[in-house]
Amino acid sequence: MYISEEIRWAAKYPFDSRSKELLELIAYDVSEYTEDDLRFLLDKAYERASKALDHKYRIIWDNDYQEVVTFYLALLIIRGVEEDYIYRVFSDTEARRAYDLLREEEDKNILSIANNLGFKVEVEKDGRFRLSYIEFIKVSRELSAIHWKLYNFKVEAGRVYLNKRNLARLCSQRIKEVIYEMIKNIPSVPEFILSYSNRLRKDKEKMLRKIERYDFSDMGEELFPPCIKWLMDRIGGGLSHPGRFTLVTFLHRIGYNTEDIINVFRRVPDFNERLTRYQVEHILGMKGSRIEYSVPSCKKIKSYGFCFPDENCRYIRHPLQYLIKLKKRERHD
Amino acid sequence: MIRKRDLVLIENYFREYYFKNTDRIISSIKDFESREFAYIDFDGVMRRHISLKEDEFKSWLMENVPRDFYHSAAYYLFPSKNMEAKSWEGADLVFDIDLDHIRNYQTKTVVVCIDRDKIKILEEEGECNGDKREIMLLEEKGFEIAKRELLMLIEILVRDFDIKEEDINIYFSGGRGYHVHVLKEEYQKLDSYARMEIKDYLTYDGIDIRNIKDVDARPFSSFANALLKLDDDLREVFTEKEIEIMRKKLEENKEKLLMFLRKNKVLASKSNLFITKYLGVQIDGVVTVDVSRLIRVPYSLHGKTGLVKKKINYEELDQFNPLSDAVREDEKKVRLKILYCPEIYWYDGEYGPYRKEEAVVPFSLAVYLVMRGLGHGIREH
Ligand code: SF4
Repeated sequence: MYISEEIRWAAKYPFDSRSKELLELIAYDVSEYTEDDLRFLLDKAYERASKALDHKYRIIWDNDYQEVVTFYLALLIIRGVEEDYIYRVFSDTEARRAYDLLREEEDKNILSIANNLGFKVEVEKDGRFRLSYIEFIKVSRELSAIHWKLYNFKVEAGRVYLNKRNLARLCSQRIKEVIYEMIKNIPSVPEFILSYSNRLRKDKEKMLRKIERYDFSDMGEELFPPCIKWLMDRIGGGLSHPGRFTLVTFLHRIGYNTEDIINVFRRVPDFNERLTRYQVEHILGMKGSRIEYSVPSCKKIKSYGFCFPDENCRYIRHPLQYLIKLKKRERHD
Repeated sequence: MIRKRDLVLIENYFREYYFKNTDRIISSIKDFESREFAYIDFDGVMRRHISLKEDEFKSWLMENVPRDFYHSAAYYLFPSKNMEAKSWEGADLVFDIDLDHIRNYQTKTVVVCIDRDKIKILEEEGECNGDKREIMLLEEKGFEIAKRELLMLIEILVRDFDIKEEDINIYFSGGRGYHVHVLKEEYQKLDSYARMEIKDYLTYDGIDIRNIKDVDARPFSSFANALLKLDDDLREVFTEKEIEIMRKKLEENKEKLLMFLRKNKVLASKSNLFITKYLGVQIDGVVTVDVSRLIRVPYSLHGKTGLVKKKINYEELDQFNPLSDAVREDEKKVRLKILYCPEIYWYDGEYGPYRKEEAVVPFSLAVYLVMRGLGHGIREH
């Protein structure tokens, strides 16, 4: 293969093991990017990182070489922010970019990526792909539970049948983890990169504040309505289905994302992350199928048997109104 | 209500059985010494977190005769420590088919009235001033229904999951169903989440036909099949007209039917209901998902039936009838005062119907009747 094709490959899939080898051949030493004629690459990398945090990426570019280098420099900048949430958003966006590219990829290329990611995939004559169903279960758990249930697919002789899009989606899930690991494994970031990182941190201040708001330390569980408090207290002993349902929909509605909700359940001594993730996604995932579940009303909660009204519960019909009421009061005080 | 003397006799009968079958039990449990054992004794007390050594097993059994005997599906580094400290190393993949969890089976029961020390059978609307109790009865029909589910389960394990028949250990549970233990290495490390996916693949729990990605996906192709064959159960969910419409689409092809259902909310949710209710394999899912589940020990005796949790070869499955084939090999007969026993084929022939009479029956049948409060006063024959 010609070197230009190799660089093309690396521009598309910089996380692939093949690309990493190439980079060692063609990249300069990091410090050299501060030289005047290369500095523009750092600016481009900054732009890539910053856009990625807004979930934006591109799949068309004109210089393959720059596309490769900016990826690696962006990794460094992201690492310098020292914020796990930022690592994750960046990895997520880059994985989406890879997904868009993979969907259009030739069979043999997507196979090569899949194999390098550790999937043992075979191609069928009709262009479909086959993957061990056990491996499938292991990756699909990270994806929307209802769409990626094993029973939605054809399974035969221990293999799941996938079309190119499905396979690309599974790959992108793994890619997300690979990129995240790449960031985490960077031992230290040079001084001149840190200035970019700090700028990025400033730029995304709003975004970071938003996550802080969802932080449990100041979430004010003490302000939750009695029914929800009662459920929170009992997570450890295991909740009934309506109990779990009420709690998850409530937390979701007030702004907890899946991870946050899972963290709440983490307090349980025999916490099982996967099981919890599955249950939470199952409740929230229903959105995808157009059945939107909302937080049960007080009447429903009463019938479930965990309504223990206090004075703030007067005249309310819905646990969310409880919070609204307290907020209003706060403003008046 | 079970009399002490009867219990002692049953315990002795169990002890004698365990004395002769120690080795068979050891060889039926893979990695015997990394399992947790548990049992219910003849006072009805459950004891857990026991680890056993193969060479001390016989003497342990003689001392602690289990009425019901279990081992963990899991392998542990420290089987006798408490749950957090056990250090889980893996678990067999197990499936439980039990009549309790089979929808289309109505358990046969008898209602008795216990008034101080008098017991009588209540026919239809009989008067009862004492304690009214419904007693479950075993019958061949139930086992046949459970077997249908078992065969479906095995078919999926073999065809879809590519599990070899020699890795699938089929057992009569000793009670009202069947157990399947898959001992293959590759499954041992699966966590609850993965097992839940496997379970859902069998039961179709939570299915939404609109999310089906492939017309050859099992739930959809089984549904298409049911439509083609005009399965009787269809009418439990759909109207004639709905069935007609769906069949028309299907006659064009499967894709057409799937596209049609994706757009038709009512029919889609009816199909979901039909698929989970009538097409899924009816297993008790918790048993499969829970990686630290206790399961009855192979070749142990079931405390409420006196029957053996016996291994069944796949080829013999068709012929297998627990009430004759899962009785211990050296069965003996005893005399018993029987309050009530319907006509039943047990061990070597027909017994009953008995009504307030004394009869000579196989010991296991006596265990079954005594444990249900339908008999007492076991005597040597
Ligand atoms: S009245 Fe409503 S908010 Fe208050 S405890 Fe009952 S269910 Fe919860």
